Amino acid sequence: MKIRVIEPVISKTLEGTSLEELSPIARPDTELSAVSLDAGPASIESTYEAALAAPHVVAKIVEAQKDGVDAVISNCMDDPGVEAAREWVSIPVIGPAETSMHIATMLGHRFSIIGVLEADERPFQDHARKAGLEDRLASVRAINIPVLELEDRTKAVRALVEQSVKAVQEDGAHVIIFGCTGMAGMAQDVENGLREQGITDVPVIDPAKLAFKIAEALADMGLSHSKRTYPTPPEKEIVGY
Amino acid sequence: MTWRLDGKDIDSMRIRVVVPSITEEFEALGLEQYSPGARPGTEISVTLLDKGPASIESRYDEAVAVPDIVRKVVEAEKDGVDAVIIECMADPGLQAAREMVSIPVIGPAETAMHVASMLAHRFSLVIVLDRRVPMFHEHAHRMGVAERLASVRAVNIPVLELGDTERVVKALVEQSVVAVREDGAHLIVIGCTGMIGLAEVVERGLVGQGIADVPVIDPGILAIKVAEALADLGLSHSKRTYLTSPEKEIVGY
Repeated sequence: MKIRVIEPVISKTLEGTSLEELSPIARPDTELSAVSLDAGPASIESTYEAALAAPHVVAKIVEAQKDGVDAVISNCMDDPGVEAAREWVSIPVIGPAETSMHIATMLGHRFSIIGVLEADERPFQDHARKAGLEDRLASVRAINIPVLELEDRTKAVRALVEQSVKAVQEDGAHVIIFGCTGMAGMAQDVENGLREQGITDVPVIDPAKLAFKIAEALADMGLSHSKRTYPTPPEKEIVGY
Repeated sequence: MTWRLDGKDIDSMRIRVVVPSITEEFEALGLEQYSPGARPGTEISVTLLDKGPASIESRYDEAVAVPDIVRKVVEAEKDGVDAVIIECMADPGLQAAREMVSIPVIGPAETAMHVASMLAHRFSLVIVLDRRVPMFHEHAHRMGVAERLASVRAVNIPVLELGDTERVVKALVEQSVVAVREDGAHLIVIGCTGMIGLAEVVERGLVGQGIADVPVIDPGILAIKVAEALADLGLSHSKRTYLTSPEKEIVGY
């Protein structure tokens, strides 16, 4: 099975990060690849940057289908280009945000999302509302560390634990979702941090990893989005793309 | 060699399917039907109830199945399995069982409705009997996906007669076509785990009627795949949502 992670940014280093984080949990028969964009932002921290990334994400997803890939992930918690890409391809296109929120709802009564910046609150609330899961979203909190500084893992984990504890104790969260796929690989450390604070009953969802496992699951079943919901766009003149 | 997040070997996984029925032939049948859905390395085991109904077709059937379902889930955890599936689209005992264990307990209905919402704007369930229509609407409301549920339609063939595959497929296709054309469904969820293994042939039936853009979810197989995914991630339900039931005197169990 071929799974491709689309990094919706121009930074090449993320390709390596994804392969490093996801390969250990890939099934033996899964062939994993990662590609970043040719044009677009260095990271996505606003709706504007997500909008700039989307056309190039779609192009990479169309390319993935041509390459015979079985499922793709738009590897960002804003799910950039996911719905537009579904209109163009028939292979499963996985959005980490959509996937995490639905699975979180299966696992707990209420979830909180710990994002990078305060500005994340609006898009996450919008995503939850669109998924119909608004009343399961306990809160959106931020660690206030920019995406490109998440490489300092110790600092990121410490901030994630701090905000997760608040989400649990003050906002009533029963499940924590990381608000950025750049936090991949930190779930275990954050769960340990929560445990040190006496919180042993709150699962932590790593959306990058979850999206990857759900991609495998759907590809296995030959299950994809409904083309009745995502019909192919009408042909017309489009300049520049 | 690849490893799961909890340190176990990813190439070996054990999933227990709890069939909420006392009907003996369902054990071998379950094994036969679920095994093809599992990936290499996943070992499926099937257990029936010692006490309970022959099949679940009513709220009463559910009520008399649940205590033994929970017991079988607890037993599965003691046996060291990685995840459990309660094999019925009523998800009987799902929440009660989660209170008593920490391994993932998968309800095919809950899972199918969430995944359907990810894959399509609106979905319909094609279930066995009309009498169960209200229950599915209630489930959808509880999960927050009620407005994505286009309709619930029934083939009106009793569970214990689902062995007549030809008749079942014909009825499933018929009702799915109606769900798509009249109710606006963009995706079909097969509404009984007893109709496992039929998604592909129903999809072909739809194509035969000129409907080529509607995926069909087989909830039993999906439950296996999601169980594998969660177990791989070492992810399970929140014990803050499903707190362990307090200890006290309970007679008869």
